[in-house]
Amino acid sequence: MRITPSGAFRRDLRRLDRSVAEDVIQALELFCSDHKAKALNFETVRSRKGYFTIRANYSVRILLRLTAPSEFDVVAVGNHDYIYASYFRK
Amino acid sequence: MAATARHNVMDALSLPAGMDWATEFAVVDNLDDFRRKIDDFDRQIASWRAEAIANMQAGLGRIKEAVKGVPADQAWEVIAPSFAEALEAVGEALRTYSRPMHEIPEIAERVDFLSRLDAKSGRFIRKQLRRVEDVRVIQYNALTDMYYGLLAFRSEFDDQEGLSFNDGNALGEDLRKLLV
Repeated sequence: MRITPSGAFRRDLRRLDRSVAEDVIQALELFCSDHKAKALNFETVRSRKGYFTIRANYSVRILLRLTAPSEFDVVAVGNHDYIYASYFRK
Repeated sequence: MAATARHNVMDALSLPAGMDWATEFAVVDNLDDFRRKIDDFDRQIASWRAEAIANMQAGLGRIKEAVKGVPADQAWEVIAPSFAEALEAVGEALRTYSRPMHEIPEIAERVDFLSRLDAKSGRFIRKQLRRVEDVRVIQYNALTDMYYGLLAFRSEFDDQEGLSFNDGNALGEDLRKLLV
């Protein structure tokens, strides 16, 4: 897996809290060695072709752009994550 | 170019008005009305989502077309203000759907009232609320996808240069230098 962090991503990373930035870095380290790791919750961005996200922590995801087979640019950090249903119980 | 691009951004990224759950459900006082409201909710939200996604995809295409041939940094200067508003609008919509409906105090109160109407109403209400929750989650996740779609669009105007890494440890080491 070949990973290229963009300038904008580096700027995003500098602006994050230290602990969140560390989560982001650890997620990318894991992605480099095992992109299918379940903890990363790899998802396709359906509204923009060629983009994917992985989970850094419960509220932060990392945006990736596929540039060639097994090659990704890391382009941004976003502060929203997908959710699951929380059903009414009473 | 500037005016056209700005207009396209506004046009592409303006979200249709959402549904005010608390107001809608505050007037429900029987189970049939409750189910009807949820049917409406289901329909409205599906059509809202389809309209918003189609708008966004077509609009982003038009923006790209309008700034074709313009250097990326100049193009972004034109797009940026409206884009920030659009991103904020998606964030606002996400906040609207961030909480299960049954946790909104006004609705919880109505649910409580309706659950006591007769012996079977509790089961009926639970079933309907499961439907609402499924719709909410689909909606929230579609908005999250739109949010990342917007960030992806923005990234296409960024500087694409950068060091590449095949090794996770080397990547981590390089990125940690930014945090010092």
